[in-house]
Amino acid sequence: MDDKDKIMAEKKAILLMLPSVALSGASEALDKLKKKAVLLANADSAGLEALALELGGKKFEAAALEGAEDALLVVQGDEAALAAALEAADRRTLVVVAAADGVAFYGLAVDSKAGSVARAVNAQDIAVTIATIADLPVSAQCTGGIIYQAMKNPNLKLDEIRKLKEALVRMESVIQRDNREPWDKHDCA
Amino acid sequence: MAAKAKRAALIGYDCLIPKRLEVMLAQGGLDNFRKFMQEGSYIPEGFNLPTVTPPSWATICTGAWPRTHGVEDYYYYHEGRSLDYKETSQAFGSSILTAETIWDAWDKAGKKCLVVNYPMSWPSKMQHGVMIMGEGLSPAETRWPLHGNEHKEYLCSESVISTDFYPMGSQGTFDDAEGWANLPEGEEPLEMNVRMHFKEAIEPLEDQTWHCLVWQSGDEGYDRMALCPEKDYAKAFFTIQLGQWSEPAQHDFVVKADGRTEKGVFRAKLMQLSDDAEEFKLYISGIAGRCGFIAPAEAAAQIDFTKHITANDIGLVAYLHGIIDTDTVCELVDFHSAWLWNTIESLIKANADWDLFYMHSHPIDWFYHGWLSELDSTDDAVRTKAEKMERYIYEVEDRLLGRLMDIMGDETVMCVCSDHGATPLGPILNTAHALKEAGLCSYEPKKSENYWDIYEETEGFNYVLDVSKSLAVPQRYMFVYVNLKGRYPGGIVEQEDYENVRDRIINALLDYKHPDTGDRPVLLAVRKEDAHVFGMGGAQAGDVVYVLKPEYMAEHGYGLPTGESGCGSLKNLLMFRGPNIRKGYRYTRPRWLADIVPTFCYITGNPVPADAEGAPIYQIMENPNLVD
Repeated sequence: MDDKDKIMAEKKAILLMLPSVALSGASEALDKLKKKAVLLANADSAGLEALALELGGKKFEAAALEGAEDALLVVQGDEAALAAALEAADRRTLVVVAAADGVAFYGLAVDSKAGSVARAVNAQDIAVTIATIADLPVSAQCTGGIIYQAMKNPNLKLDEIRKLKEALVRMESVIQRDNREPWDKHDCA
Repeated sequence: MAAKAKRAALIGYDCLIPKRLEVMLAQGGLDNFRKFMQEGSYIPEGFNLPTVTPPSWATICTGAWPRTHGVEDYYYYHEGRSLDYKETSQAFGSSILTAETIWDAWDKAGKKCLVVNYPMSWPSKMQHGVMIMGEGLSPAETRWPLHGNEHKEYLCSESVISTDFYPMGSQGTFDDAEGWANLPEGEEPLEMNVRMHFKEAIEPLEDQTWHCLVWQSGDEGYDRMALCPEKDYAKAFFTIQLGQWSEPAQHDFVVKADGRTEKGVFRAKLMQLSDDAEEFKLYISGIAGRCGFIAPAEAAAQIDFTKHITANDIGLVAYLHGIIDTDTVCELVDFHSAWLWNTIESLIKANADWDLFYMHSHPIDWFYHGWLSELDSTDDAVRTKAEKMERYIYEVEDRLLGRLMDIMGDETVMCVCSDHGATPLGPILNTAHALKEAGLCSYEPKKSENYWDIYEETEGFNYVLDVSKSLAVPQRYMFVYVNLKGRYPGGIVEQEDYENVRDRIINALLDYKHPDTGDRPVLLAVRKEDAHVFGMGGAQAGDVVYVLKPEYMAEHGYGLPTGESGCGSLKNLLMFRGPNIRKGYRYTRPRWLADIVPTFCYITGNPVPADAEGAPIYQIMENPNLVD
């Protein structure tokens, strides 16, 4: 992994395909998830797994999530897989749960105070939202609409670019300061 | 009050501009400056040349002209090296002085002198006195023989820990706090583990790993942070909230060279903490030491260094990098001044039998370098903000002056002075370009526009001045050298052509019209020996000495002290108070900084330094005929 890949890999996403799990249910893992998740009850996740694989996702067993370094991990499973995913997730991990009764977004860049979102979404929308949050490249065939309502900051990308530009200005200012000519101003600092 | 003063004290405020002081006095406040003027004599026409820090402070402590004391510029040329300006060093410290200082002269007579953060003083040669390192601008820092704007300090300089990139400090992100002892009560504590590299240390220090801890004290997200030397909250340096300064924290630091441990004191301010802890910025002041910068070393015991930080450069570099704001700069001015006052008060109380006191304070100069042009802004909001900041810093210095007047008592003749003024940044003269147009200098800008190429390939210099193809080489603020063969590496001018080339240099400088204005920026260009008339032209001067018009200044350093431009002025402050000094007197004739030392010696009856060339300022004395 070169430096560029490492930087991009700082963000991670786990997509859990859990057709046997209902988000409306109750368990320790579900309660933990729902405490900070955005729930989309009106979601059609048909074809989502295939789209995730097109984004570069890798299929994983739930037991192997801990320590996995791929940017998008796709897991088929049940509530045990959910528990394993929440345990493996850190602050830079987006967890998306495709359950029997809807889809939940949890973790990185997700608005934990949004509760539920009524907007109807499909697999294309879910996939492009994962790609946007986790910095994954999309293809020209992408037709999804980013689910901004699930994101804490709908201008996430603009703010990331702004920060990079500011950092660049700071670097340039240092270089300019170090490059001053003898007749330029010095600042006694 | 006695006819003669028992002691003398020099209070130096770098770049304090009398014109600005008078404007602020007319608006009210600054009661200690006002009191000093009412109780003493004020000389509004304070002159010196060159108008820059090291030569002026050298004059103020020797009574000699730059041609005599050997410091003629902010930078120092090492004889025998290439004339390329990259070979010059910042001209600070006592080792380069070629004239005797007042404290060395008095020390020989058995007098006790206290010298605090005086730029040309370190290392000390005194037998009886106490010196706090002055070999740069801030106490306990050195700039000799460093290039450009480099400095080193005891123990090390400022830093930042942030989730964003800054050109100093460390960048990181928060993760779940793991392996901690004694975690505070609160929701979901997070940690950021940071490898601390302590930069710009006079004595390099071992790196350490510190731990930032953030947590949620309520329901509004992350709002508390602690900095800890290990993963134990019970051992935290401090706990603070957004916008808050920590109290001074003391910690042990290991010196790489010999493994010994030194105590250091620092403060930190939480500049940024978002509710999700994704945005975080902790400014960490320089770490102030307590030894290595005091002579004799045992005098350190006279001072409690545990509660103050030096706050070198009042955070100007951190401000330029976007790490801190102007309010924080002002707070650092307070901290800087508090360190100075604590040191001064401790020394004076521990050495009640002192005879001479010399000190220097730099915040006003840092402020003008950062904000002088904003004082002339046509944008009311910009100008008003700068004026408010200017007044704040003058008020800090005013409070220091009040304390100094109180502690000096009635038997001390005091002089308050500055070393130069400043004028707003104008169109800059590229001297090399002027000389190239006259066929005297081989100068090419770097072809690459890529900053990284420039940085990496030239180590910070983005033009090529080929000394080996130049008849004339500009160097430092006011000089041009004739590139004599056999005298300078790469020299190409035969000795018999010296005068001809020198005349061509003078003509080129005087004839040159600035491309931006179409006017001539050079006010004066003379042969080195002609510069003797105004105190320059010694061994450290170039073959031609030139002076710019004030509107072409880069704040100060190139102009005559009479120069005025916009809100600025290049004159220096000069005022006296104490025994035998006329009260409420405004003495309007020009006087030079070289007159301070002779005035001190005359009024106190103490020895005149061997090389002093100025004269007592008789006109400000109630009785000028002190000689029996």
